[in-house]
Amino acid sequence: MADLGSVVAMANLRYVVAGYAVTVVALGGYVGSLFARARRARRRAAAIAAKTRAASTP
Amino acid sequence: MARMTARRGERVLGVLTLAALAASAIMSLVVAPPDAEQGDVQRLMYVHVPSAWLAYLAFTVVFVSSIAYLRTKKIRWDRLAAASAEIGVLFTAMAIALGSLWGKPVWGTWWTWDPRLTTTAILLLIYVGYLAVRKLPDSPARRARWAAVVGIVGFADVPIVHLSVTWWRSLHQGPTIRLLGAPTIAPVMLAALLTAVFAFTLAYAYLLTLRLRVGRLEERVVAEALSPRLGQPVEQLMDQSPEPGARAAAGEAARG
Repeated sequence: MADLGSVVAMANLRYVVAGYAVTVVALGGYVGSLFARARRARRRAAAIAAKTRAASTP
Repeated sequence: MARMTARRGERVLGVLTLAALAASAIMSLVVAPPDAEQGDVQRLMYVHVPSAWLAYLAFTVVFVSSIAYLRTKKIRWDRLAAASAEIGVLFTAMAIALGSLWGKPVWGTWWTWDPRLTTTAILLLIYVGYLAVRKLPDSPARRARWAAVVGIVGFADVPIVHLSVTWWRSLHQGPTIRLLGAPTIAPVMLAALLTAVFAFTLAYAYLLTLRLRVGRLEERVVAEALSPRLGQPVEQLMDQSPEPGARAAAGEAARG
């Protein structure tokens, strides 16, 4: 049977794993969201510019 | 002109950041020993402390940029403040979440109304409010001015958060690294902590570069839509100060 010390150590390790997972998800998620925003803005800017060009062409 | 794709410098910074974060993970999870009293759970310090440090740094950048914007009315300061505030909110939320994960096994609770925790929660609310002010449907000039005022006034909470552990009786531990006096942790733990602070600072620099580029791209969408209606080139619209006075002065300078 596992002693109390190792049970507590294993339980504590779960908090460490959760903490590092939170860090990776938060930083990675934010970087991902910035790339998505950049992609969306690029597409919209290109679409508006194309529309403006088409409207100004006789 | 707003860059459509990442510059080489941004990519290099991204790779350096990833390498530094990997080195930090090895230092804090493998090289640094477990704490004599807390055991392995103390390893959360290597992500919690740098997150809090980066929140301070990000809000200091907001404070300085806001003062610079109010003095010069240059749009680039407003952009920098907006970008840094968003990243600061991310790091503050991370510091609170990681502190909570550390607090549960050590203090026996996820949250307590301790001075450090409470002032940090207020800090998060202040800068979430700052981001909300930036979304107000108002004139760009007034919005930028209000945001700058909130960025300056809100910064008053940063020293309060930092000094709360010495001003009041707190459950939260005191500073690990002091400007004056020896650090309170073992040298190998200090090395792991400094590596983590360095890696997170690089991450902040990379996120700021990326967020500034995204901000420019989003402004370009608005400028592309307004350009034909106002009869002004897109680049000129993007670099214009939102302040009517500064715009008139720029127009005068261009004519004169």
